[in-house]
Amino acid sequence: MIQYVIRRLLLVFPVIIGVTFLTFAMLLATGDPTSAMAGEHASPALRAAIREELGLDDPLLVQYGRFVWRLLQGDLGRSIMTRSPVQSELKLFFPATIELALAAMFLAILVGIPLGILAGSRHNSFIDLGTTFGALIGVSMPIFWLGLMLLWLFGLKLNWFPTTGRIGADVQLQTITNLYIVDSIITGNIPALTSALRYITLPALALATIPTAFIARMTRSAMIDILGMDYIRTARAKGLVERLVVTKHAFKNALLPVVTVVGLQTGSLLAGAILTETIFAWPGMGRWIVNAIVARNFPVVQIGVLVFALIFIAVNLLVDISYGWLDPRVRYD
Amino acid sequence: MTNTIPEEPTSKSTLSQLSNSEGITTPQAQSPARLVLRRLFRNKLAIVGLAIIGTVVLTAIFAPVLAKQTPDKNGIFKTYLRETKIPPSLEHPMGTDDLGRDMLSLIIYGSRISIRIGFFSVGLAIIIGVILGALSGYFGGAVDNIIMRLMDIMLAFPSILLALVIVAVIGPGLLNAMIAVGIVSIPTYARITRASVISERSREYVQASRALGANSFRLLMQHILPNALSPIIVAGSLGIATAILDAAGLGFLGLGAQPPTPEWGLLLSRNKTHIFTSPWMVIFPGISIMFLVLGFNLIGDGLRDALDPRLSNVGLKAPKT
Repeated sequence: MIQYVIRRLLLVFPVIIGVTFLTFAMLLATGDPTSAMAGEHASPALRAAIREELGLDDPLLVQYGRFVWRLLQGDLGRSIMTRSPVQSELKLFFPATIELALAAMFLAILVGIPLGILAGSRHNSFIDLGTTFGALIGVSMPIFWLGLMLLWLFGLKLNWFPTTGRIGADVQLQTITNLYIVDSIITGNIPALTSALRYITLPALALATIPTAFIARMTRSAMIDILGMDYIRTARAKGLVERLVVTKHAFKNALLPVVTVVGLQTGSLLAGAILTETIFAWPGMGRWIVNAIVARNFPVVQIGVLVFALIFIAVNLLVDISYGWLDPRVRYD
Repeated sequence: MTNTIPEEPTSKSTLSQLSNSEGITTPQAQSPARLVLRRLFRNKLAIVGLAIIGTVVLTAIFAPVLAKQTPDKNGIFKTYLRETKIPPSLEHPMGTDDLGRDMLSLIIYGSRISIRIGFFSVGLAIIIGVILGALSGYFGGAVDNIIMRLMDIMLAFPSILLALVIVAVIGPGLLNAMIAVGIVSIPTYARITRASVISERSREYVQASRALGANSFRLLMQHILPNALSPIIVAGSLGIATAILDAAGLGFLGLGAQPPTPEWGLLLSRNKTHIFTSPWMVIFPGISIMFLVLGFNLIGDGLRDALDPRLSNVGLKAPKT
């Protein structure tokens, strides 16, 4: 197992190098940085000075090395707009996105897996057809539209939930992890907890739709697949209660593709977060990156994209490793 | 097998002899394409999908006839400032927007854009993806390594994020958004093609053809790539659904189609501030996107089942509980 983990870890390195190189190259492709810094009409002498100072005349690989070295030392550059270090903005926005994504994934697993088991174990029943059709609608819906509809119905019309932001302005919360739900539980702050939960509900619902649909679909087909196998017939033949056949014998083996789809959906969560955060004014990384792209604030775009990609790589790695744990055969490939 | 290379390995009769001599029988009495179509037409959901796509394509073609208001030469719709924000009625089935434009007409013209986005992006991705995948699988070694590592790197980004970055670099706009969405899905087709090429490359019929002097290009085009066709078609139709959603998302963020284009995502984005007073301005563009995307998803699922019947039959074997 350890050998398998190490082998997977080694495979990740070329990808990480490629990803950092791509984000590095992105900045070069966006035009002359001296214009961005000193204005369109900067004198050639000033431009040359800036180029000298930033080392823009060095070979590409040297510049790339410097970029990586800077990142490793924790220097993520400065935002062109706010002039503040990208790092301090990242510290603010990163936990918000993580909190939203975790909440959405929690909802998706909570709803998707039981629905999938029900649908799969009652193949062709009403609940099966309903789940299948619902899942199809779920993956076909533009997430930004669903978000707007939730906002309109539950936020504006029924006024059940707040529509924008992360927590009420009147709530005091001592931040530790910057995950507001976790922080309010740690500090035992009930008003902050209810406020944070109320604010996260609508964006998390919108974000959870697509993963819920995929998880339900995958669980369903894996269950159908496995319930048709011989060992299930044996389990039934020996008189095992159907409930135990489904939950103990079948579901455990259906877990493998489900884990994969949960992992893969993390990618769609990150992508969805970009649109969801924009709609609900959720102060997370997605909105941060979009605003930075619109404002051509490339140091922020660069780091935001890099962080997104690294999370994505890490999750895929975890999926692979859990695969090896769930199915020992995978390790000897 | 190598000592019994038939004289005309490309002809169908010898091919079946070839497989028969190995004890493999292929139960294909009729052409595979017709079989697939028949299976597809037996699938009710796939028919619904076809009907949806057909409706939207016809709408796009006959837009000038169907739409009440038509844009001028520059694609600009006339504004009717005395008829703003009229709720859905017989006159305006989808209501009017804040400029008095008929929402239905805007959406009818928007269908042209979404259809174009879907086919253009996926077409681009398939062309580049198949070329890269074929090179990678056929030549192997360093070529394979470089191409596939590049694909891995692209897959390390969530797709819409990579599309956003590409648009950020090459600039916003409809064409650029289509290109970005296309580039993002290249790895899918490259991987599918590579896998088929590798599995076919070493088969006897390919080696036989090579022994007869067929060059690499001919081998790829005539023998190897046709085997990659069905997974590519399935991925392509599902890919069109994703492409339309992603491009609409870019339009919504203001980085895709630009005004006055009636692109559905852009319509949603510019109308969202009116959601409280006139929700129909937001509801209908969203439903249109969902409708078309659903169509491609249904047809994609149907095609997958038709092309690989093992997948669809799996469920039938499960005993009823």
